Amino acid sequence: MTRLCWEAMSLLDVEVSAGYVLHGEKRRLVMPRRYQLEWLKQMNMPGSGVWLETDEGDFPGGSEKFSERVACMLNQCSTLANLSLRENILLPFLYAGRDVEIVRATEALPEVARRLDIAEKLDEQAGERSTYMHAVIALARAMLMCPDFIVVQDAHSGIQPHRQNMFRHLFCDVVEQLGAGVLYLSASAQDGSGLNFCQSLEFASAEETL
Amino acid sequence: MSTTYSGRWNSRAEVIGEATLHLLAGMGQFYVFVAAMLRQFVRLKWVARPAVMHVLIRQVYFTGVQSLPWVATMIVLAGATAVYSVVPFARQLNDPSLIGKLLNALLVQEMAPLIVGVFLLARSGVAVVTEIGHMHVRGEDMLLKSMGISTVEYLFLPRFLAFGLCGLILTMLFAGASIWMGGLMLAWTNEMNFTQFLLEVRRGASLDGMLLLAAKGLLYPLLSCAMLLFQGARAGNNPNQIPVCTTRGVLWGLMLMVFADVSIALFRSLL
Repeated sequence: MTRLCWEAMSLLDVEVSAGYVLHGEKRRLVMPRRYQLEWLKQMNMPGSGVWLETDEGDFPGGSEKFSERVACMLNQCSTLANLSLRENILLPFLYAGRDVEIVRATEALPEVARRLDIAEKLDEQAGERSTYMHAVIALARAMLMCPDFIVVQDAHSGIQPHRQNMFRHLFCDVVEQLGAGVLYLSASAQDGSGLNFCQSLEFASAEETL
Repeated sequence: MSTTYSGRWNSRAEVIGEATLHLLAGMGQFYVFVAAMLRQFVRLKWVARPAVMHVLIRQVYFTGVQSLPWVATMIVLAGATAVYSVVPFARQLNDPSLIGKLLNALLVQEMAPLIVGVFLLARSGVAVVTEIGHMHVRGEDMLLKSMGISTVEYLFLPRFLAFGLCGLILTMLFAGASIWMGGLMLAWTNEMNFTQFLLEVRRGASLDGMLLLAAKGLLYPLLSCAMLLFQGARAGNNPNQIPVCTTRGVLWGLMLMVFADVSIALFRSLL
């Protein structure tokens, strides 16, 4: 059984108890933004107590295998400004350098871009983009990666109201289609994700910083 | 009275001590930073990563190709300055062999690597440190880490290599072309025959001198680039720190180059 696990850890001034997300499950940690960033930092740091349990063995957070199977959707930070949107979406594949994967992702990209309605924007430089666009780029990347888990950092927060519904539907569809486990880090219990969480834990008076 | 006097000296000593410790800590961090880049370079994984090669090619284009018009202008100016200072001096002493010796010692071995180093520092270096600083402020380093991308391998190493490669090529080009330009100017103003000028330069040249030119042309840009990247990575999340880090990076980069130049001169004099 594939699980995204973490041991008890200190995030700034709060203690987060040990936990896990099973493949296909949706869990939420509600905490202010700076705690979310700290959680993500720890997740990407080797030996910091976050790992992926699979049939093939355990992969520590920050390792290449871990990143291949756990996709991240960061709030307002899913693109490198000096790359085009196409390069941004394909970046993990271009970095890993496996030709088969690069070809597969490149071939699948037009269909993914059409579904997310960004096909005509792919060759534009990323530069400064809206929260919606950041979220869509991260979602496109996740669709190409087909990860076991998606760690989402408040991706729905800050999206323009007229885009909210559209993105919520897209996100839920993609998560269902991939069958991935979701760990949602949110600053509010009203995150607007539209997901049914099997567990939601609150830390460090989350609403305070909104 | 004596307590106040000793107290003042104590506080001065404390300030000096703190500054020294701060400097040593900075040197330690810089060493770790450079070692991490060199480790990634030696592993050679970057060769098989299209994303890294892409950054390297872009950086070479920006640092090397786009700066060619500026380098060409400096070649003309430095060539003219050097030959019109050296040739009259050699004539005054009635020793034409001084032309080759002085041009090789001053223009080739000293001026060329320093001018190219300072030029790269001022043109591409400022852009590099600002870009890296902005990436940190925007949280792009966090994004890279979340995708399992090493910031050292993807952000720092390609820029470091591009500086080294472009520095080496531009320095060799600068040294060779500025001598040719100087010779052509001398011939044009009927000061000296071009072939005779080249023969004098050839007579004063040595393999050691060429190797030294290549070593300096590679080392100075690498040192300054490492310092610039190091300072850019220290911008943290504060956008106000970017200009501070840029200034600090340029100044320390310059200091490192001069320090390396002095060290090489001392080392050679000891041999």
